[in-house]
Parts: sequence; C-alpha cells; structure tokens
Amino acid sequence: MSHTYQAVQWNPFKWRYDLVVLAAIALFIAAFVVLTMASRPPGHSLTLIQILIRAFGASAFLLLNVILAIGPLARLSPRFTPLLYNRRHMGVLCFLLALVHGGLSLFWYQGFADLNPVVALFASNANYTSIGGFPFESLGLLALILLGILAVSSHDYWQAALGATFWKRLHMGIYIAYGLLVMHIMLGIVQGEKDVIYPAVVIGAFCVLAVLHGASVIVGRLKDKQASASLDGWINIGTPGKIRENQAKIIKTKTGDRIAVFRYDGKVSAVSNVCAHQNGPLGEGRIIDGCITCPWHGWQYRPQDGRSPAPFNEKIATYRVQIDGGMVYVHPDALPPGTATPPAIIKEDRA
Amino acid sequence: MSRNHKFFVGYDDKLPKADRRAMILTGGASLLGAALIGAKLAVHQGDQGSGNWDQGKVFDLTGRVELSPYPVLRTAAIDGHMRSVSLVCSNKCGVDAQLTPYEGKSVWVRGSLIKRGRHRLLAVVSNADWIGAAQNPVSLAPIAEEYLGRAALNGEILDAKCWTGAMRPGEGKTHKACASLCIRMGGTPWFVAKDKTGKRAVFVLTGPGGEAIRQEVLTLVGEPVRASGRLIRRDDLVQLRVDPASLHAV
Repeated sequence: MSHTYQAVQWNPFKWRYDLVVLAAIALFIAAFVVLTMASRPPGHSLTLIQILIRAFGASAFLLLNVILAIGPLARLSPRFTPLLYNRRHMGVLCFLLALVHGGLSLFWYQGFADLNPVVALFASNANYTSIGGFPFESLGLLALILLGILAVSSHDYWQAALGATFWKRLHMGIYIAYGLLVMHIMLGIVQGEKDVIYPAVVIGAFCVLAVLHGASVIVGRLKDKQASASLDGWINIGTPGKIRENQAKIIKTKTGDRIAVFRYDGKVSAVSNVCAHQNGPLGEGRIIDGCITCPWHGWQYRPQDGRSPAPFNEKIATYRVQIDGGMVYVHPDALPPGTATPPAIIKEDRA
Repeated sequence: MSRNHKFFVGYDDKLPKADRRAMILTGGASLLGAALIGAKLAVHQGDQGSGNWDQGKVFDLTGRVELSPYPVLRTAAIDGHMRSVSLVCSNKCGVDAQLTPYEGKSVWVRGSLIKRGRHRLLAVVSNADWIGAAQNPVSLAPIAEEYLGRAALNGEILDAKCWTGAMRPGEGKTHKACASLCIRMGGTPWFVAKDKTGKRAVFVLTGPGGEAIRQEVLTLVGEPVRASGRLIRRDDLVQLRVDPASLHAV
C-alpha cells in the first residue's frame, strides 16, 4: 500500500533479517581479526588497525556482492523475494563498513603528517598510467562517495521526492560503484598479497553475479517470448486457464513495456508491470484483499483502475482486455495511469 | 488482511512456510559462510615480518650524530657493538633540521626503539626536548667505508621506519602511498631486495655520490623495482648508490 510518502514499517521478520545481517558481518570481522592474529607467531601479524582496515573493506565488498545477487535471485525464484525487503538496510550497512575502511585507511596511511590527509592521498601517488603503481585508493574513494550518495538517497523520502524513475536510474549507479571496487581491490590488495585466494574470491564473486544477472535476463526474455503472438494489434496471451487465480502473466509489448495480466474472481484485468514505488514487478505479486500487491514492498493497486485504495493516491497505467473465442487479448497501448477499464469476464470458469 | 495466502509482503509479520524454510536456510548459510570466508581470507595473508616498535619504552641513547646521507646515531650503547641507529621522526616527518647543529657531536637522544632483525631505528619523541649534548664525549672508531662491488637487484623502495616496525605490512602495494608520504616528508628510503626464497637484503638507498635522494624516487616507492649501482659498506649499514634516473619498475 502506498501514500505520497509512506515509510515501510518494521515487523518481526525485518528485525530478524537485520539481526542476521549484523550477526553475519560481526562473525566475518571477528573471524578475520582473531585468525589473522592467531595464525602467525607473535609480532609477525599485521597491526590491529591494519587488520581492521582489511576486515571492514572485505566485509563491505562481500556484502555488496550479496546485495547485487538478491535482485536476480528473486527473479529466478520467488523463495528469495523476502530478501528484497531489507536490501536497502544492507546497502546503508555496506556504505558504513566502507566508510570505516576508508576512514581508518586515510587516518593510518595518510595521517601523522603536516599535510591534509586527503591532499596527501592524491599527492602521494599519481601513477595513473601504471598498472603496478596505480593509485587504487582513488578508485576506492570514488566508490565510497557513490555508495554514500546511494545510502543517503535510499530512504523512501528521496524516492518520493526524486520520482521512481530517476531514483531507480540513480541507484543503478551501484553497478558503477561495484566496478570501481573490483578495480580498487585488483589494483590494491591483490597486488600486495601473493596468495591466489584473493583474486579468486574477487573474480569468483564477479562471475557468480554475472551468471545470476545473465540467467535472470534469459529467463525474463523466455517468458516474454511465450507471450509475443498478436492479432490485429491485440496481444493474444492464451486461455484464462493459463493464468493462475489471483496471479498474473507478464507479457512484453513490441515497445518494450511489460504488462501484468491478472486473473481474479472470474475476471481478467491488465495493468503496468511497474510498481510506482520502486519499479517492482507487479506481475510477480498477488491479488490480496482485492488489490494487486507488489512483491517487493507490498504497495497495492485495484486491478480495474490501477489506483491505490483510499486514502492512498498512487496510480499505474491500465490496459484494455477482452476475451474472444476463449482467448484473452490485451491491447498494448497503455491508458493513462488510474484509468478505469472494465475487466474481461471469464464465462467458461463460471459455468 | 487475510493471513492464509502463500505470498509474503513486506508489512506482513509472518512468512509463508516455504519462504520461512528458505529464509532459515539462507540465514544459516549466511552466518556460516561469513565466518568461514572471514577465516579463510585471514589465514592466507602473507607473513608481515618481525618488525616491532615499543612506543611505551622511551629511553636516552648516547652516541654521535651523522647526517649524511640520512640521520644516524653511531652508538655502542645498545649492546656494546658499534651500531648505526637511524634517527627518525615519530610521525611522518624528518629530523634533519633539528639535528644539523649536532652533526658530528656527541649527544643524547630520547626516543623509542624500532627493530627488525639486526636493524635498529630510534623514533625521537615529538612532544619534548629530545636531544642534547652528551656530558662526556662518546669515543668511537672512525667510520669504516668499504667498496663491495657493483650490483643489479630487484626489490622495493620503502620507508625505513615503516618497514622496520612502524607499519605491518610496511611494504607492498597497499603501503605504497604511506611510504611515499613518509619519504616525501623526510623519511629514510631503503631498498629491500628479495631473492626467490624470500630472503631479504636491506640497503640504504642513496644517489651516486652517497647523497640523500628522496623526491627523485617517490614515483617508484612501493613497487617492484630494478636498481643497478655500487654497494658501499659504511660501518654496519650497506648503501646502494644509484643514479635515480636508472631506476625502473619491473
């Protein structure tokens, strides 16, 4: 359900979700710190602050991989959809971990001199044309700034203020931050530590993400292909029986728009597949209490007119639907958001 | 809202059974995975050497000050043997200017010892008087200088204080910017060569005439470098005298 600005509320699941994330981060850092110190003779380990720099940096990068894996995982299996709910909390945590990593690094490596640490950072190394000597710290700083912008703007207030489309585009910047961090690590710690495990972890994580994203795109395209047959401008999506009760079938028009065609109470209605909140896939949601419910954050819309129930006022585009010869047809031209359009009646099902 | 649907929405307080199972498994795997990956990454880090800086133990050391190419205190006060103890700043700075009035003189210097292997540095205290004329002149043999031959070595230019124990690691790519800043601000550049077995040899890096070089080598600090030049032993330190222009990354 939605409003002009409505914060998504807390519940026991969300508390447990965040507790598990915090516990996982704490376990990672504790294991890293304790075993770094314990696995070497006294005096041969890193200094504590340098251990913490590595622990926080590594945890931020690994958490970012988890964050980026949740989206495609949720598209590939609805079992992972609940993971989407606190993903923004994980994003903010990722920024905070990276901030501690960057802050400690700046203090430790660029501090203690009669020179501003930020100035020192850029003055100390300007070998931008060298792979071996590349100032990888600058890549990390850029990524940190980007993560900071995304963390600050992750609140629903900014999503409402900036508009869903711009907000979503802005937050796609997470992939730029990820690329910068991969380069930061490959040109930094991977060149400093000789063990193969470090490049293996970075490259492995990158490949897993690439495969997951690729698989989710392929699965999405396969679904689109099944619904591509059309007649006289109307898209034939098959018999009503091909749509599960209170669920939807998603089709893609020639212009690239996705339409969610819902079946409910012996009727069929079609709306935009894009939620007004965060562009969530409405067609992967359900009809609950008579309203289409977004699987991402539970925003709701009436299937007949694409409007959120009172007192909320969000609107999404609707589409004309008809049943002819036992087949469901949807017209690909979107009606203005919130336009009421009569649902098609499934006569066969009522018999 | 009805609770009997098998579809989870964010404001609901109860997950459907199948989702709950998946989330419990995912949560458990996350906790286990985090601990295992953290442990795995930790134990595969390289050895950081045996450098040590006991900042809590401040003492006075007597000896004679030599400024060229880099400040050292020639002293026999540590273990009875003549040692060249490099004098360094506690922070990222140099001590050349403060030592200039004392060049060649017997002094006491207050600081804390940084040591790695046979190498000794004294980090002078920064918040009090840390040097003065010694009550009695220190008697030491003249500096013994010996030409050892020419050498072409692969290694790394680094800051003496960082490598000896101020930082762990005090070498390598992640330490490059720090070492560069230290040397820029007046630190002592050393050249540490490493053979295939990992055994290290430490040289004081100087110009062709044994003069200090700092700004000339900044771009190559913390990188694998090829250095060719003459080896000169001065007391217990060995200098690698190079033309800075001949240094190159490998």
